[in-house]
Amino acid sequence: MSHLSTLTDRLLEQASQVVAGKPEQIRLIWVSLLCGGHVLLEDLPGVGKTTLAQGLGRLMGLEYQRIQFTADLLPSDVIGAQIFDREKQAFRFHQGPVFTQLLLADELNRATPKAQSALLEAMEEGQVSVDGDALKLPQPFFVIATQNPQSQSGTYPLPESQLDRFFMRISLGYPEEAIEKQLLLGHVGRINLDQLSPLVKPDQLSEFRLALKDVSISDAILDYIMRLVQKTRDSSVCALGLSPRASQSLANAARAYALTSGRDYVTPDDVQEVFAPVAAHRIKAHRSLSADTLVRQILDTVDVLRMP
Amino acid sequence: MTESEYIPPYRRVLSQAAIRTLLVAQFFMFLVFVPYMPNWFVLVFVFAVFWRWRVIHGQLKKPPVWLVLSMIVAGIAGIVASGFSRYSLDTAVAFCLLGYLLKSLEVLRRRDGIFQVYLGFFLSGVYLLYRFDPLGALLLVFLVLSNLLALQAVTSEGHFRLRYALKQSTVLMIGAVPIMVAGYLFFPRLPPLWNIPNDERGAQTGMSDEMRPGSVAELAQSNEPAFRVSFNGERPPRDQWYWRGNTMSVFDGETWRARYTARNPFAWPRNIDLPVAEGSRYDYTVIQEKSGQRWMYFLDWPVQIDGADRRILPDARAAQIRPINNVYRYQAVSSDRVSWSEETGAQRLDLALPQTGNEALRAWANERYQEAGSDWAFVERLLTEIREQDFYYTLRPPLYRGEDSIEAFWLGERRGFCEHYASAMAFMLRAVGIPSRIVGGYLGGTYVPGGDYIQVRQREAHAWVEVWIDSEWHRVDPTAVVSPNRIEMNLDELFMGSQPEELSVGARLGRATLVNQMIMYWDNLNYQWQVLVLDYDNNQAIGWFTSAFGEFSPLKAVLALLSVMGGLSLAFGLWLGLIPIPKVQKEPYRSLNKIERLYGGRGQGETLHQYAQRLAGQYPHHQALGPLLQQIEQCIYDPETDLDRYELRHLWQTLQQERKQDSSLV
Repeated sequence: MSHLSTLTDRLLEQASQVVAGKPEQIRLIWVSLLCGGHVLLEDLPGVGKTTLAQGLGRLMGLEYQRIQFTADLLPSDVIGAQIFDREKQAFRFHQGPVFTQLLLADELNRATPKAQSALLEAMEEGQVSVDGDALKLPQPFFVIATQNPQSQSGTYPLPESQLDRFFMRISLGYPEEAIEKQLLLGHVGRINLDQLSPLVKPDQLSEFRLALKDVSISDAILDYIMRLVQKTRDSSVCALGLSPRASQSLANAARAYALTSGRDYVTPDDVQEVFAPVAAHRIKAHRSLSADTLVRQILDTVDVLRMP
Repeated sequence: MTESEYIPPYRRVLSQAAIRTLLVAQFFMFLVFVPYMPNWFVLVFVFAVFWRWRVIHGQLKKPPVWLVLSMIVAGIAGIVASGFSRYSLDTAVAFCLLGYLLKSLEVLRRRDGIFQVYLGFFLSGVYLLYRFDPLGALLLVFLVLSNLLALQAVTSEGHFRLRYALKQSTVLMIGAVPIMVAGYLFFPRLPPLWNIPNDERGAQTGMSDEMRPGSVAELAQSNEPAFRVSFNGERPPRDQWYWRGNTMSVFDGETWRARYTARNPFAWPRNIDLPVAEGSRYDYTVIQEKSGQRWMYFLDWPVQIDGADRRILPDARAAQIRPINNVYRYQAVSSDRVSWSEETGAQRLDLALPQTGNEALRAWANERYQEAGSDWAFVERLLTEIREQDFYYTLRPPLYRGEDSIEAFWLGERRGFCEHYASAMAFMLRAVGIPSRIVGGYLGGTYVPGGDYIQVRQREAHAWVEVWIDSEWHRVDPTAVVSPNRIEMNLDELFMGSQPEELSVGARLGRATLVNQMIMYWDNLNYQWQVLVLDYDNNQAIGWFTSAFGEFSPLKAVLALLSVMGGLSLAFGLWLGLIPIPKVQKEPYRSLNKIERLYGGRGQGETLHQYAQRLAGQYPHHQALGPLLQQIEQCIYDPETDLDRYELRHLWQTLQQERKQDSSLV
């Protein structure tokens, strides 16, 4: 446990060399990985999404692949295709980029829904179907998808059902002014990714996932989570509330967050930290209100602790 | 009135079931009062039933004003004509019952129905004033139950189910039990509340204040109990069961009277000592039925009496200032030999006779006295006369009237009962100069082994003579020496008088002893009821009351009763879960609450951690606050952390010190 928190600290320290000033976001991605959930990075181009994904892949010791989604991308470009082998006189499956441990799906919303859904099946099932055969993907299988803000032209927005499959949606945002100045001076970031050495051994990850189950979550926390979830289901607050899968994700994320902070029990602070990334992309606010604002409001108005 | 219009519940028309149930309850209420009310009340009830029948069959109109008024006027006239005294209990109850019955004329809606049921409850309580014995208690339970049923029928919306209502009513009555017990145990029975004057009934049975043997043609024999005695320790032999009540030492030629009459109890002497015990002592408790008289009953000779409000009189009586109109309990000690003080000894009055009358008897007595030579010999001589001459004992004596009535008995007819014998003997003793007086009381009684007490009935009333010889009062019972073959009693009287030990007559007549045993069981039940219910140690209750609330006063008593009952109902309600128990906030929530009180509340979305950080910024000198909140947080959210009370207290102490320092800085 404490092992994990020191590891987390080191991870954050190392990652800050890749993308400076974003420890919270990196931590959340790490939490997602621990929970076996996929991350949707929503941001403008050029804030360091790809670099971050690459860097994390290295630090976590994961095999890394990248797909650049474009409007003409086909599902086979993701999954792979049967190719006729002349020598053997037979079809051979040529694995697509999805057969990896960490997949960066760049600009997911630029592809057609058909291509998107090919990836989403892989995300949900941990396997792909090729000509009726189910092919297992390597474990762990972790997708970091990036998408441009939906207002940008040439995008196919992800439907709600598919958004729900992303464990978290995280925005990097612009770097802070001071950090960006440092960046311009060349003091931080953009180091050569080859210099990074993996911090996490492959079987450590499954160890951490087991430890996750031992993180205790008290009734007071469960009540708090239920209050938050119920609030989103109040039709006067939200147009679309959180699903049970979402509340499950919320609890799991809070557990993992507690674990990365070196605690074996969940506090409301953990819940609050993960609530926005877990919930914001799954709820729909009434018009004229962004989901992020709504999430903020919910956190501010729901009682953290009710006296018995 | 349109269909859609809302009718408030109290104005809704009663259902047929409700009206029927109400009628049944009314019938029972009426039934128990029948023996005490004039007979024409039956007519009123029949009329009420008739009216209800009309209502059930759809006549939903109110009765015309003239009908109501005429019924009321007729009822009042009837009550006035029934000959009740104007301010008696009977009059009040008769009015109440009349109103209760006549209310039926206009009971159509729920409000009226409820009113009538409440009146029924009130009347049930009133019934206690008439009857307060086990059977009466059972009846009362039944009455309350039927009224509760009626109440539910009246307030039920549409469907009335008897079984359900019965269950509910029973639960209600069981719920009242703690209140009843509280009232019974802790609430002293106040005389003004508890004792309703009821002279008329009390005087109907029992002994009268004075004795006029010549004018009684037939002595009534009543099996009603007069009193019950339980001995603490040894019982005296049965032939000593002379229960003295009234002492009569004034004779006017026809009537014997007590020296201190009830007419002027305030002139009674005060602070007189009873005779001093010399022989063996008997310690006993008497529970006396209401008698309407003032005196209490004792064995010969009383040496000590404990009871409220009693006054001891020189003629070996103890009397109450007020007539005993309720069951009354007292403790007494008697001794078979006593020494008499000057006050309690013979007085000039114990020799007084009218100047004239019974001349022949006086002469006869003086002659015999000369022959006998001594006082004792003269007493013996008189008893021998009764034993050997043809003196008859009868309950139907001829009338002896006028100045020479005693002479007419003793020298003439020679037929009479105890009063005649006692009167004649006392007269002759006085005529020859021996002080004497007559004692009215009871002789004998029945020992009831089941309850270990002696039951004395009205029919065991007796009169005997006391004679002053050798500076001592001696009891002489002339009736006892009447020859057994000259006792005239019919068989029924014999049977009524027979007691378990002497059932030979009854057994010979073929009567089953079972009946007598049943009678004894019933009497025993009544006795236990008196001991437990009526005569629960009131002094003790008053004692408790005084120790808890100080000097006794009715207002205090009512307040105390209400608070005790309120407390008990609260406890009962809590126990049944009818009243939610206010939760005592446990740690660590209590500490958190306290902090929030001291430092201002947490924001709605603020976690404890954020709160602690905020407070740390606001109150940098309160160093203990952070660890305290951290401990609270850990306690709440980490199931494996137990509350460290010691640490918590320590942190609180530190915080208090810091707060003090901080405020002194300011």
